[in-house]
Amino acid sequence: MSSVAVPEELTLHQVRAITPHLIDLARSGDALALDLSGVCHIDTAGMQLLLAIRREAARACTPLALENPSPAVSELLSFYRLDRVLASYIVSEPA
Amino acid sequence: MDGSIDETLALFVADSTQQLDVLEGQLLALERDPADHAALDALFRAAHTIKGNAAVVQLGEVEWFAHVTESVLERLRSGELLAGCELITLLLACSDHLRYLVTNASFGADASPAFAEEDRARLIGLLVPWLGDELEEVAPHSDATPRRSEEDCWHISLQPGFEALRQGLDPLNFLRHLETLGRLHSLRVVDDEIPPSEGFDPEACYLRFEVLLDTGADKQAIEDVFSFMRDACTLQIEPPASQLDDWVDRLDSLPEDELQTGEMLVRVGALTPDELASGLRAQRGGEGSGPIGRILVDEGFVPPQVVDAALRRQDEIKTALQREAAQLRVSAERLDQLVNSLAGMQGSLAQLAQRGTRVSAVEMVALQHALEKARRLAEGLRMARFGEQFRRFHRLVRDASLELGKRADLLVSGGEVEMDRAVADALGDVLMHLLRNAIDHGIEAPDVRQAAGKPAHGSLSVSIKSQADWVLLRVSDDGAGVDLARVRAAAEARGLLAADQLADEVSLLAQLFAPGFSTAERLSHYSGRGVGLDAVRAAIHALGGEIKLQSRSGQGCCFEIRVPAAPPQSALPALHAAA
Repeated sequence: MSSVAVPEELTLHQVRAITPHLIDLARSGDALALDLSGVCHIDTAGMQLLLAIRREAARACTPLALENPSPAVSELLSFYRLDRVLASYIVSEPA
Repeated sequence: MDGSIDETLALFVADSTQQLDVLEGQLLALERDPADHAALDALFRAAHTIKGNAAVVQLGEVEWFAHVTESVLERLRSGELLAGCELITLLLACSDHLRYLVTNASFGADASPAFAEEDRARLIGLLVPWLGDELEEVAPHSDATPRRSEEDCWHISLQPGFEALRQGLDPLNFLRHLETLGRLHSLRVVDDEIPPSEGFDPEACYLRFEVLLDTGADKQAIEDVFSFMRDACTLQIEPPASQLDDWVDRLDSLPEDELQTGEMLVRVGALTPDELASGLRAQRGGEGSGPIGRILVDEGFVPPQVVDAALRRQDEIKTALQREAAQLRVSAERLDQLVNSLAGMQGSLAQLAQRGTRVSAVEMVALQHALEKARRLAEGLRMARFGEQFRRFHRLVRDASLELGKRADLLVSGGEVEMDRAVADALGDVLMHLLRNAIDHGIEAPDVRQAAGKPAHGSLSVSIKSQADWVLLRVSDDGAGVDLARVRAAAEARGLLAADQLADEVSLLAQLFAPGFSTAERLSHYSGRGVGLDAVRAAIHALGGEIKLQSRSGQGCCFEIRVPAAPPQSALPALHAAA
């Protein structure tokens, strides 16, 4: 099981740097937990990356968890009505 | 409707049309000289007369709108308002609306009033600030009922281009902006196009967004939200069912002007000008180059039933215009002369009959002369003074130059020349076309003109004279002249000229008359819509005439037209049909 803390900026200018590593993990078949609690900024490119990881994970039968989405992440997912689409992946620890 | 009411209505329409001509002419005069008291008085009288007559024939709508217009004119006359460009534009639109209402009255009540209502609501909204104390009389129409269900929502499909994110065009910003127009009933992110990991470029955009928007805004307002990314995305805006009916209603009640399909759709709001431009580009691009209606449907810009409604209305308008052309407008003065002449003859015959003796040869000749005169007068009923056409020329020059940010004056001469009314109307149409072209392509923007050492105001002139059996017309402008290099490039692009083929000025100018030829790089409301000089030349040929173009770079263009004063009789039915 790998657990990765996603960096503060999940935006257009940062996605390229983290994509290969995260996609590799999603394809590995080992459970992957993305900790989203530290994400301060997220844009459509960041969201698209989460969707791409989900697709890769589904293809490789990798169990995926999106943990503790920060307010920025929650707000964006909710605007895009993805909070319900991704509900089965989202794990929030009780505060 | 019994005969006498019909007759009263016909009188009302004829008289009001005359009053509206006065209204329009005097508004243009007032714009030239805002202190023109004679114009102000004439304006007020015209509106007042229309109002009074409308009351007599019980056309409440016309009466009411003429009253509102009159109220603003009254404030102008009393000096409370000043006749600025904005107000004149508005009053001209009011005069157009009255004309539409009056024309509609002549056809009975077969057109649905949806378009008129829309137009009226818009005009009243614009008139309110000019009405002062009369404000309470015009209750504003409010149309802000919130919509609820899914089928009452606009469906917007947004596919940002592959490079959109990298170009800084995050769809998030545009979708959030969309929320300012109404409620996002639903939003679906479609991620099917994200490729498997090897091909995935995290900075590219693979997403599509399907939105249901609950709003009272129109299509243009929705498109405007995406204006920054218009060229970097594929955008489809589908209307709710109720809007569809509304567009069809509005198409059904469009005024009886001859319009192209695309223009009709833009006019009712079913199509945005950007969409039309894009459709016309597709049409010119030759991908099948079918009728524009089908292209607009294929591109997803307009639902098929709305295009069908536009085509249906277009046919109706064509039929109505033909019916109208088959009727003859005659001058009351000429008709009086004819009636008087016939009455005179009747009197002479009665005297002869009373006398009971044989008719002398001299009396016989006199009677023949009288009969000949009556016949000439009857023939003359068909004739019209060309000057009747000038009103629409002045209006066109004013409206077109205003819209295109140019300044132009129109000089006319030869209004007294007479010809068959059908010929006058056909020539009038041709001249409208040439003037429109001259303002759009010929006359330069004021700063460009000044930089070239010309007066900021362009000048256009129309002159007409008769010479033996011919009518000679000249339409000239002092604009930039024809850009021969651009004509050459366009002709080469269309394969009309080989790149190494020599072509002199005359043959290049002749290219301008080739079917479908256009050098327009952009579309404007006024030209570049694919109806070009070929149509003008065809119209002149139909009259048995010819047209020539001269151009001097930097100094302007001049069209010379000559047509027979009496066109071949065979041409007249075709002319009416083309009207």
